[in-house]
Amino acid sequence: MIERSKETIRIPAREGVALDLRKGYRVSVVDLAGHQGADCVAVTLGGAVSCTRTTRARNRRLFPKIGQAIYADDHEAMLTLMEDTSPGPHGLLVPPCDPTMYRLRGAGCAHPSCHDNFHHALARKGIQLGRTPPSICLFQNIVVDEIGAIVIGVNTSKAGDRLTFRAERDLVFVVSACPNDVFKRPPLQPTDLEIAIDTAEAA
Amino acid sequence: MMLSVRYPRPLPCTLSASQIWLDVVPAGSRLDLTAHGPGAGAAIFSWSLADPYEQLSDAYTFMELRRVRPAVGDQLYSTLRRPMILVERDDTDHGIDLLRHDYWWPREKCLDALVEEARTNAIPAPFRRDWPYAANIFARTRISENGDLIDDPVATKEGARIELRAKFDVVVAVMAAGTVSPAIDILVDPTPSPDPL
Repeated sequence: MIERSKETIRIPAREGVALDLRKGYRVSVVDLAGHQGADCVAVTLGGAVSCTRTTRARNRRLFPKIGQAIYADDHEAMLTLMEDTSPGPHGLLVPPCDPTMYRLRGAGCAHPSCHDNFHHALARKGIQLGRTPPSICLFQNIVVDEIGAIVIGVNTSKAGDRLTFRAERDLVFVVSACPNDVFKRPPLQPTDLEIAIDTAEAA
Repeated sequence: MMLSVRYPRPLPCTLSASQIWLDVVPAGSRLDLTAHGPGAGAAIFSWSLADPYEQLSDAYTFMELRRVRPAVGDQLYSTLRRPMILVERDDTDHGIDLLRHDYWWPREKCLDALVEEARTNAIPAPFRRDWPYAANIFARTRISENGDLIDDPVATKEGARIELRAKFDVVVAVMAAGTVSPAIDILVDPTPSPDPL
C-alpha cells in the first residue's frame, strides 16, 4: 500500500515541470497571483499523449465539465476534472506559445515558451516527443462567439483559484507557467504557479 | 480488405466510403474534392513533403485565423505557423471542420492502409503514432452558448466541391467517410494559381 502523502511544488514564472502521477493521484494547479495561464500536457511511458481534439470530441464540449476527462490520442481517459474554483473559461483550442510565435510578434528569438518548457521538462524525464501536442490551457480566457470568432482576453482567474484532476492512469503531467508577456497589458506579468499532489485514492 | 485507389493513374479518381488516397500535391497545385451526394465526407491529413513533422494543424489554424470555421480565402496553417493550404472554393459554406474528430469506422484500418501506402510508394510520412489530426470536409460543428459541440448537418448536394491549393510541396492523405456514404472524386490540378502564392 502506498502511504498517503501531500506535496506542493512551486513553478517559477516562465518555467515548467514534469511530474510523475500514479493512477488515482490528485493534482491541483493553483494560480497563486491571479491572471496567470497554466499550459499542461500529459504523456504515458507507453507513448499516449493528451489530445485536445479527442477530448473535445469525446466530451462533445470545448472544455470538460466537472466529472469529464482529458483524453489521450489512444482515446483512453488520462485525467478527470474534479474541481474548478476559477470563473473559467479554459482552453483546448490553440497551441502552446512557441519560439516562432514570439519571433513573429517581435519578441526576439530567445523568449521562453510553453513549447520549450514542455520539451525540456520531458527531456529531463528521458521522454522525447516527435511533435508538440496542443496544450490544455488552464485559466486561459478564450471564448468562441456565435459566428465562430475566437476571442482571447486577459485571464480572469483570481489568486488562489485552482483546478484539480484525478489521474486515470500512470502518467507524466507537465505544467508550464506560461511565459507569455506579449499579449498581457502592464502591469500584468507572468507569475508563479503551485502544484499540489495528493496520493489519497492511490493509497 | 482496404483498397487503395491511388493507382492506376492518372487522376482523377473516385473514393468510395472507407477508401483511402495519398499522394504528393506540389506547390501551387489545386486539390479538388467533389461529393457524389448528401452524406459524403472525408478526413484530410497533410504534411510538408520536406518534413513530415510539419503538419496541417487545427490548433495553429485556430490561433492564426482567430476563427474556428475556415472559409473561402482562408489559409490552413502548419505546426510551424506557416500558411499551408489555401481554401479557394467551398460550395457547402463552411464545410471544412477542424473542431470535430475523425471517428469514422474503420478509421484505424484506414490509417494502417495510409501508412502502408506511404511506405510502399516511398512518400515521406510521419510515424503512425505521430500522424496529424484531420480536417474533415463536408462536415460542420456548431458550438452552443454553453460550450457544447453539436453536429451541424451540411446540405451537401451532388457535385458540391471544395478546392484547396497547396502553398508549398505537401503530402495529402484522404480517408473517405463511413461505410455506406456516397463517394468523393479527387482531382489534382497542377495548373498554378493566377495569383501569386
